[in-house]
Parts: sequence; C-alpha cells; structure tokens
Amino acid sequence: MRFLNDRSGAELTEVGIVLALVVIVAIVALRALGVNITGVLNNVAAALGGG
Amino acid sequence: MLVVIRLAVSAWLVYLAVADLRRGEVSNWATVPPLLVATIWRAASGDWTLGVALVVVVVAAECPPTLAGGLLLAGMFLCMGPAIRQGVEAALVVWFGVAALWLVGVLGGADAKAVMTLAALFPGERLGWLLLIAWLGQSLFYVIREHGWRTPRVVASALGALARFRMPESRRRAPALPAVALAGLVCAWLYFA
Repeated sequence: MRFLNDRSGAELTEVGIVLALVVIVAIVALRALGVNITGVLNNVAAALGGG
Repeated sequence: MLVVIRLAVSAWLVYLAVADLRRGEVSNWATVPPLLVATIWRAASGDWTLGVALVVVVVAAECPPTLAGGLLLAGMFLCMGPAIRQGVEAALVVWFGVAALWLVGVLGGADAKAVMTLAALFPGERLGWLLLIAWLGQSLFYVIREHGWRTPRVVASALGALARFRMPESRRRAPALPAVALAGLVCAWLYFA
C-alpha cells in the first residue's frame, strides 16, 4: 500500500511551475482550436472497449 | 446541513495546510479516511468509476514505474466512458493526473490523496482550474523567494530538462497542501451547493 502509506506533503517547485503552465496552455490552446477534449477522451475510451 | 459540510471540509483543509507547513508531511489518518469516505459516498451515489480508479491507482503504485504508467493510462481511458455518463470525468482526469505526478515524485502522497478527496467531493471542472492556478501561484512564490531575478532562468532550465524527459537538477521541495487547501476552500464556499 505504498500510495496510501505515503505521508509526504512536498512538491517539486520548479517542476510544479512548468507542469501547471504546460497544462493550462494546452487546455486553453485545445479549446481555442475548438477541440472537444471530453469527446476525444470518450472516443478513445470507446475504441478501447470501455465506452 | 450545507454549512456543516462546508465547515467540516474547511477545518480539514486548514488542518492539512498547517500540518504540511509545520512538518512537511501529514498523518495518514487525516488523508486516507476522507479519501475512502468520499469515494464510497460517490459510489453510493452511483458514481462507481472513482472506486475503480482508486483500486487502479493503489495497484499501479505497487508496480514498477513503466508498468504503473501504463496501468494508469489504461485505467483512465477504460473508466472514461462510464465517468462521462456519471458526470465525474473531470474528477477522473484529476485523479489519474495527480497519481501520475505522485508516481514520478513531483507530488507527495498526502498531496495526491487530498486532491483526490477534493475531486471526489467537487467533481466539476472548476476545482481542476482552481488547483492549477493555486499550484502555479504557490510554486512561483517558492521559486521567486529562493531565486529572485534568476527565476526565469531556473524555470527555463526546468523546462529544458523536462523536455528531455529528465528531472531538473534543482529538486527543491516545498509544502504543497496550502495551495490545495486554498482551491478547496474556494470551491467549498463559492461553488458547492
């Protein structure tokens, strides 16, 4: 139960900035391009047999 | 009843933030039971995908890193269809996202469990945005406090390392739960109804 037993509350600060920025920019860009993210994930899930 | 839930969630979040700031870690008693209760409550409401996702995350954590990554990815896509029907797709993305960040060592276990609990309580997209903005702001605060004017260079260096699929040389760690608590408090008091 490695995950449930881990008590650490620390983050890597530099990586945090980069990842948060990348995710925000990616979501905003995909929305600006009119990509329906939920639809894409749904299609992939359906193709994998989960939908 | 709503006020009682808000107050309970607020007290829990403030405790997490203070404990993390003081000790850099949080007792499992403060993170595991809330996660289990929130997951079971969701499952009892018919949103069982988060329960399946929790099993996938716990199992993946026991596997070697490469297999764990594959398991998380497969788990997310297999759960996505039912999650969309249940309206918890944003929570599912947050769950697997923070589990992946925990797996590569970017987030601590207490951070991941607290975020997952909040996402189960507030499964909408708003929490995800609030978490991202609070995390970005907090990380910027820590890095600017430590590096001052060298911050852009430090961030560019971290970006360069990550682009080459490596971790940055500077691995400074700081408490993450204050940002999580802030996002949770905003969600609990402004959007939870």
